[in-house]
Amino acid sequence: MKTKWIKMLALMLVLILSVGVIAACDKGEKTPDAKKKVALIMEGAVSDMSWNATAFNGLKKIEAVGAQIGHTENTPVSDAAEAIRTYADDGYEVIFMSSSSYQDLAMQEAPKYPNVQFFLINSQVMAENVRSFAIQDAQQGYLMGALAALLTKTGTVGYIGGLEIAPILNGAKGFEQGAKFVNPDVKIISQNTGSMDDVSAAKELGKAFVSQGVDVLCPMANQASLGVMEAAEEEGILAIGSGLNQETVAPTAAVVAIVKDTSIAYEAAYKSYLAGDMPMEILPMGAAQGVIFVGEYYLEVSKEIKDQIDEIQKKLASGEIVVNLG
Amino acid sequence: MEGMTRKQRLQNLLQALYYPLMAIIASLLIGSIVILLTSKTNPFVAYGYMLSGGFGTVRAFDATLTKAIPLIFTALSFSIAKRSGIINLGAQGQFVIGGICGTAVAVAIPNLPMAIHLPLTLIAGFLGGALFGFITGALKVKFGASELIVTIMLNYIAVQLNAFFVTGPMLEDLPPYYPQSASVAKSATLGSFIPGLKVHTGLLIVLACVFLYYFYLWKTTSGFRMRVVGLNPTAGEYAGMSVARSTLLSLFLAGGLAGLGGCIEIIAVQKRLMITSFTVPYGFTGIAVALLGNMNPVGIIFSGILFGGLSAGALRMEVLTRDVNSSVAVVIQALIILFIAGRQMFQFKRRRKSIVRPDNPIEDSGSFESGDNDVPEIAGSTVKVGERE
Repeated sequence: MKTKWIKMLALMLVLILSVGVIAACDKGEKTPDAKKKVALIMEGAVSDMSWNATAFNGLKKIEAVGAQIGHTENTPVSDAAEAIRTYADDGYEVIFMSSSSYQDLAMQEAPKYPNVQFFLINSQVMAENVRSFAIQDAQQGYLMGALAALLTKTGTVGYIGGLEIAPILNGAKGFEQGAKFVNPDVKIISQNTGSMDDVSAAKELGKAFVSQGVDVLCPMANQASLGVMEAAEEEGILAIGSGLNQETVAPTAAVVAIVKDTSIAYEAAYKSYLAGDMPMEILPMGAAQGVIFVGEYYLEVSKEIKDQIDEIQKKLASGEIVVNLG
Repeated sequence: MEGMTRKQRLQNLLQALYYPLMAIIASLLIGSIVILLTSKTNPFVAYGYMLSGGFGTVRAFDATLTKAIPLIFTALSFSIAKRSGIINLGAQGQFVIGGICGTAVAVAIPNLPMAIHLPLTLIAGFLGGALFGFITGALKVKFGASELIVTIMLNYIAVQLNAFFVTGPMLEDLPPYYPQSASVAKSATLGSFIPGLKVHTGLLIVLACVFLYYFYLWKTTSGFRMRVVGLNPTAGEYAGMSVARSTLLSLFLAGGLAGLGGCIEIIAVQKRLMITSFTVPYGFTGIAVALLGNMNPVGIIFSGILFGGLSAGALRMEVLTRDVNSSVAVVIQALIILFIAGRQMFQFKRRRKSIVRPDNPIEDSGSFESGDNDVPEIAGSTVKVGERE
């Protein structure tokens, strides 16, 4: 009696296991033409209407090319290793890391996952399976500075950065040089709030700038940029956006957005991965690649100014103007 | 509390667990509504991933414990202040300062034997946080400044100090000049004590701190004074206990515990100070951990592990469901605080009973051990549990 049960059980087990094996084989055969899995790890939220929003748009574009996508938001550096591991275990083959903060960690982790291709945005490192892109934030700052200097009536313009990380600091350098380029006498006030998502701190700083005579504000602080736009709106001055849709919080203040559309960079990176064409070099992504450009004007701006800005954008793209980051 | 029968003890334990459990269940229920509204994933599936990501495997539990360590430190920080009647909302800032001071020592002196370097680093972290907490105490004692406001403001100062140090005095002098300190010296690193796992010796330190918290408050005269002053400053004063002394000491210890947590987080997990080192609200989550654990030593450990598991599991949930945001974990954590603060709503029967029961009223509305009498103040309500009963 007992042995009969044991036999039955063993039979059942064999059956279940073989079904499992068959199912697994089935999957295994399908993988080659199954969709590639592409992940994006972000330090902020996709709702920030700037850095992470365009990154997510990039991921969407990659999905449109025919990949299965996954993303994590608000992932601190200390969690990123676990995120990479979970993605790799789940069969992801490409992982984008959207912040330069991840650089060290990615270099530590990447060798453990030789079958995963890592793309680091705004980093300076490379390895067998790691490539970096340098978004030319300085060019964005340059265009903002130039336009601000052209628009100002008080002769004082303000730049509000978020975290004091290299991209934001480069943006500040570009801003200063751009403003001085069109008007050597312009007064520039520039400060960082130390946060990419503290909207109210950015707003307060914006208001403080206005009391110092600033009449054109330019934010480069991801989510916190919205606070600067709000400050400009409430104080009745002008603002130049740094991402898509930031004008929605400042309908009468936002002149234009100097867009840093990193989605183009993401898509280009993925295509180069598919083509297997990834030279060992840090790829610049700026005006020349169409990543940084002047968006549509929301407010009336004279043709002269528009032409001047277009001219500068072209010069940045052609390399005639190079921002000095020294 | 002595001489209780086993049955009474069990009853007490169940009573102590009732509110936290109800709060967790209610929060998970509402969390599942959030999941339903924001994604196409079945909440059970999402919670399943969360559970397996937090507690399902050795690796998951490893991550959970690692995340729980800083939370238990900041929970202790909140609790020890609260026990003496101070609401310390500054654990975040004290955590940051502890991290900065610890890193300074860990980075500045190379080539020191570990037996000296590591303790020095930990002491620096503790003292940094303690002195930062002491500022609040001094301002309160000297000028009557509200510790609520002072601690919140000091949090901002701490974050800016961190930004200052990593971009200036402590900046690693290597290209590309990313705002971060040099790596913590090997001799000042807290490593793992179980091979193959990430969980580090900080776990043992935090458990020791929990024990000391218990021992100090319940087994020493100084701790007894602190609790008396915390429950009733006037009575304490009348009995010859110094409220000022208790305030200063408790904020010193609170700051020290948070600072030690910050220091350990850097030297054991992050390994260097970065401008983004403290973007996770360790201090504020610690308040939730303390409240859920009812500021009870054992309770703090368990709620710390639960919160650690929630955030560790949230990552797995976000990755594997592909459309549930990890913020759901934060929502659940926030709801838990709300339900703990408003826990009267779970009092279905007890309210009537307690009127008739001839028990010691202190026992009912929060004994010395539970101290839950004062918790609603946190949520801005001045209604005391005892008054409603």
